[in-house]
Amino acid sequence: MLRSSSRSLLRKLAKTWIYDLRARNISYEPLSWSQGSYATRMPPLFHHLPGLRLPPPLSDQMERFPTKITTLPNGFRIASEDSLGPSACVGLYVDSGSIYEKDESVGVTHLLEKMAFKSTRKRSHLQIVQEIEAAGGNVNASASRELMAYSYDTLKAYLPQAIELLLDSVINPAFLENEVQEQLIKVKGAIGEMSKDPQQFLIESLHHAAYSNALQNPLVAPEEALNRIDGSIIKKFYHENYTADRMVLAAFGVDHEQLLAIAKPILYDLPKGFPVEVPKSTYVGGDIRHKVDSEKTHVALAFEVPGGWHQERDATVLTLLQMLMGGGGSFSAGGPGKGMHSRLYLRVLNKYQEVQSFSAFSSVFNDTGLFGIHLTTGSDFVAKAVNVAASELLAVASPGQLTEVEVNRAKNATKSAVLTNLESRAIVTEDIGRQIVTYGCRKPVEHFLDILDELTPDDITLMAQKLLASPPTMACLGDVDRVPSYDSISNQFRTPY
Amino acid sequence: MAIRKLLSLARRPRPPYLLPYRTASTAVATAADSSPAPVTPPVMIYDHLAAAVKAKIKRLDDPDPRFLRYASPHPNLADHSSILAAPATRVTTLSNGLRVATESTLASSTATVGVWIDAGSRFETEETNGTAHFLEHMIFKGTEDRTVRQLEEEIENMGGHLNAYTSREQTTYYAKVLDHDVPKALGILADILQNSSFDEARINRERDVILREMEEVEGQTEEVIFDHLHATAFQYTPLGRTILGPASNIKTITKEHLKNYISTHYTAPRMVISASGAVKHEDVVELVKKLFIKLSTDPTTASQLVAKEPAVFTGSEVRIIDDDMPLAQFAVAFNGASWTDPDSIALMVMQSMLGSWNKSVGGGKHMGSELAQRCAINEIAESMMAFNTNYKDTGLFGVYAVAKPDCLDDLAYAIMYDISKMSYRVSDADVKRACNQLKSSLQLHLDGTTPIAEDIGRQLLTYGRRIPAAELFARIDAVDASTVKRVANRFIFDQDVAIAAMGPITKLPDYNWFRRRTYLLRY
Repeated sequence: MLRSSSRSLLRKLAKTWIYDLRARNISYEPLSWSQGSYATRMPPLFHHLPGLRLPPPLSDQMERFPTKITTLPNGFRIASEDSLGPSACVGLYVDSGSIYEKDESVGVTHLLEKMAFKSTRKRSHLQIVQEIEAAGGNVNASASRELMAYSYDTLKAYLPQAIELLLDSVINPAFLENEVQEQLIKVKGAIGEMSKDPQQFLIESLHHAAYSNALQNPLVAPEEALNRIDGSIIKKFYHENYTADRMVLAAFGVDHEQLLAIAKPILYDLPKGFPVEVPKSTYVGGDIRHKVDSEKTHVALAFEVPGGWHQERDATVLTLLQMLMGGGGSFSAGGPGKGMHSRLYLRVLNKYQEVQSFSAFSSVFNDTGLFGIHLTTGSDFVAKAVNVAASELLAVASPGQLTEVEVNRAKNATKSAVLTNLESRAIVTEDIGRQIVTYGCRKPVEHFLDILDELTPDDITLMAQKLLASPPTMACLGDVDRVPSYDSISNQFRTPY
Repeated sequence: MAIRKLLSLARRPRPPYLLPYRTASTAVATAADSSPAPVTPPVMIYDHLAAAVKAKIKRLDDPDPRFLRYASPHPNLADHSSILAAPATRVTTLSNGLRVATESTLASSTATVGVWIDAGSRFETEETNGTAHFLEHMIFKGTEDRTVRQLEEEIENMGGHLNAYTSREQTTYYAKVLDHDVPKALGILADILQNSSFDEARINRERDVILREMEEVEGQTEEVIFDHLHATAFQYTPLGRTILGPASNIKTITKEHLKNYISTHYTAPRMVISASGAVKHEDVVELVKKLFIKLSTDPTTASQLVAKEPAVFTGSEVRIIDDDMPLAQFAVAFNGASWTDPDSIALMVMQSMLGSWNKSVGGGKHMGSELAQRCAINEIAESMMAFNTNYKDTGLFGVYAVAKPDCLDDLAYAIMYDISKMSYRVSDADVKRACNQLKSSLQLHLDGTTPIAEDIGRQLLTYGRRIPAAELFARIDAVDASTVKRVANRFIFDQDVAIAAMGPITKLPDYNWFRRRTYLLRY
C-alpha cells in the first residue's frame, strides 16, 4: 500500500520533472524529441498544453515610447519608436519620386517600385525571396510622386535579418537587364487594365492637367516610356536620387540602439550625393477628357491647395474639410460610421438616385496639392451632377453655411480616423518616415489633435475660399460630351461669396 | 571554406569597405563588363557561354560581409520567448452565462468593443435560410428608444464605427470608438441586440438592399465558388446552405422569423463580449452586467445543436460551364479538421506549405511552395490559393485556383500532385519554413484593437478560451515532417474530394481523375 502510493508519487514527480524540462526548452526547440507522437502530446485545442510555462503577462499600462532620431555624418537619418508587442515594422523612405524625373527618365519611378526586392549585388532574387519566407515576413514597396517607401513587417526575433535585407535591397540593387525586361513586360500588360480602375485613371489625368511641370509627370509609366526605359536609365536615375542625405530608415517596435548597431556599419559610408534642387511645380489648372463608350461617366473636379504639407495648419483644415464633405458610394458595405451623415451623403447621395458615387478627395504634396470632388453617375445625369458638385464646393465656401454640429462631427471623425490608423505598425512606421522626410522631425499626434481642436467653422470657410480662388481642374472619363464645358464651370467660381 | 575566404581576401588588395562604397562597386562592374575574362582563349561555344555567365556572376559577387551577417535563406526555428508576453486576456463569466473578455492597452486612445455570437447561417432551417444575415442588416435599423437616424447620428457624432458580419457559424457586432466613448458604444450594442424594433416597412425596404447585395456577391466569383463548394461538399446538411439564403427566402422572411432567431440563438451562454484597447476589465464587466439583462438564458449550446444536425462531407462535384467567361476557376477540397482538433494546427501548416500565388506577387518563380513554383514557371495559372476552413464538427482543406481554359489539365495535375505528395515525401526545410510563415502571419495579423478583439471573441467561441501566443507557437513548432505525413494520411490519402468549378471548364479533368490522384500508385 505504502509502496504503491510512493511509486505513484515518484511517477508523478518524474512526470513533472520531465514536463519542466520540456517547458524550459519549449521556446527554442520543438517538442518532437520528447516521448510520444504529436497526437498524444497535443491535446485538443480547448485544453491547455500540459507543462507549458507561459511568460508573465505584460502590464496593461504599456506606455508609448518616444521617437529617437540619429543623423549619420553623411546625412542618413535613422529614427525609431519602440513598443512592447511581438512584431515590428522597418521602413526605408527615400525623398524621391516622379517629380524628379526628367525627359528620358519619365516613368522610371513606376519601374523602381516594380524592381524593389529584386536581385542585389549581394543576393539573388531567389535568395531574397527565400530569406523573407524563412522568416515569414511581409515586404512592400510603393512609389508616389514625392516619396519612395519600402517596408518590412516582421516578428521581432527576425529583426536583424529584416533590417539587413531591407537595406541591402534598397542600397545595392543590381537592376539586372533580364529582371528589368520581365517587369517592363508586366507593366505593359497592365496598361490595358488601367482603364478598369477609373478612379486611379482620373487622378493621373487630373495631375497631368493641373500642373505644368514636376507633378505633371505620370506616376504610371506611359507606353512610350516603357519602350525607352532600360536598366541603364533606371540605374542613372537611381544613383542621382538615392543618396544618403535623402533617405530615412524608420522603425516601429525596435530599440534605437539595436537598430543603430545593425544599420550604422552598413550605412556610414554611403555617398552623400550632390545637393539636388527640389523641382518646383506650377499649378495651372485645366481640363482633360477621355471619351469612352460606357454607361457611366466619371468626373473629378479639383482646385489647388496652396502650401501643401508645409502649411501644417492649412493641411489640417483641409483634412477636416474632406471629412466634413465626406460622401461615398450609394451602395457600399459597412454600418454607421462610414460617413452617412457627412454633407455630400446627406445633400447629394440621399437626394439623387442616379449618382453612384460622390465623394471629396485630396492629394496633398509638400508645397501644393489638389482638393475636390470625385463623382460617378449614369451618363444622362452627368451635367446635373457636375453642377451639383460645383455648388457643393461653393456652399462650404459661403460664410455661415456650416453648422457647429457638423463641424464637431467631422472633427470627431477625423480624430478617430487618425487614431485608429495609428494602431497599425505599418502606418506608424510610414508616419515616422514621411514626417522626417517632410519636416525633418516627428511631431506627436497630439500636436495635430490640438490644432484640430481649435478650428472653427470659419476656418473651414476661409480655407474653402482660398481653394476656390485657383482656376479649376477637371478630368472626365466616359461620355464626356455631356459634361459641362470647362468655361461654364470656371465661370461659376468667379462669383464673390 | 576558410581557404576560400582567404583566397577571396587575397584577391582584393583592400577590404572593400575602406573604399568609398559606390565607386568600389561600379569599378567592379565595369571591369567585369570589359574584360574578356579567361587567359587561354576559349575554343568551344560553351566556353563563351561559360565565360559570359562567369562575368555575370562576378558582377554579383561582391563579398561585402556587412550585408550578409544575419540573414539566411534556410528557415530556422527562432527563439520567440522574449516577445511572446502579451497583456493578459481577462475573462469573466456572468451569472447568466455571458462571458466578458478583455485585453487592455490603456496607453492607447482607441478601443474596439463587440459581441461575438455562437450563431450563424448553419443554425437555420431550409425555410429560414438567410435569417441570420437579414438580422444583421435589420439590427442597425432602429430600436424602441432610438430611431435609425438617432442611432446613426450618435455613432457618427462620436467618430465611431459600427460594423457587423455573419458567417456560417458566427455572428459579430462591433464598435470601434475613442477611449471615452466605450460606455456609449456598449450601451448602443446592448440596445440594438435586445430592443430592436424590426419595423415592417423597414424590413420590406431592406429586402431590396439584400437582393442588391446578393447581386454584388454573385459578381465575386471567389465567393460564388466557395458557396458552391459548401453546397456540394455538405449537401443535405445545414452547412451546405449559403449565408445570404435564396432570393425566395429573402422575399418572405418576416419579423417573426427575426424575433424567433434572436430568442433561440442570441442567448447569454452563446455570447462573448470582447473588448481591446483602452478598456478596463472591471469597468466593462460592470457595464455589461447593467446593460445586458434581457438576454435569454437558454442553456442549449451551439455544440448540442450541431450534434443534432451534424455536417456530413460528401465527395461530389458541381460544374457550371460558361464559355463566355474569360477565366476558369475551381476549388478542390478535402474534409478537413474541426476547430478543436489538435491536427487542425498541422493542417494550417500544410496550408502554408501549399501557399498562395498570383501573377503580380513579388516572389514570382522563387516562392518556397513547390505548387507556386510550378504555377509560375509553367505559367499555368493566374492565381492559386490554398485554404483551410474550420467548423465546429468538420472543415474544408484544399486549393482554389483561377486559370486560362487551356491550362486547366496541367494546373489540376500540379495541384493534385503537390497535395497528395504530402502523404509521402515532405522535407523538413519546407515544414520549418511553413511553420515560421504561419507563426509570423498569425502574429502580424494582430495589428490594432479590432483584430485583437476579433481574435479574443472567435477563440472564446471556438476553443472556450484564448490560446496564449506561447502555446500556439509551441503547438506549431511541434509539427514536423512526420506529423505532416500522418495528418496528410488522415485527411488526404485516398479520401473523397469535393470540387466546385465555374467558367470555361470543359477541359477540367473529371471527378474520378481527381479522386484517383489523392494517392500515388507506388509500391
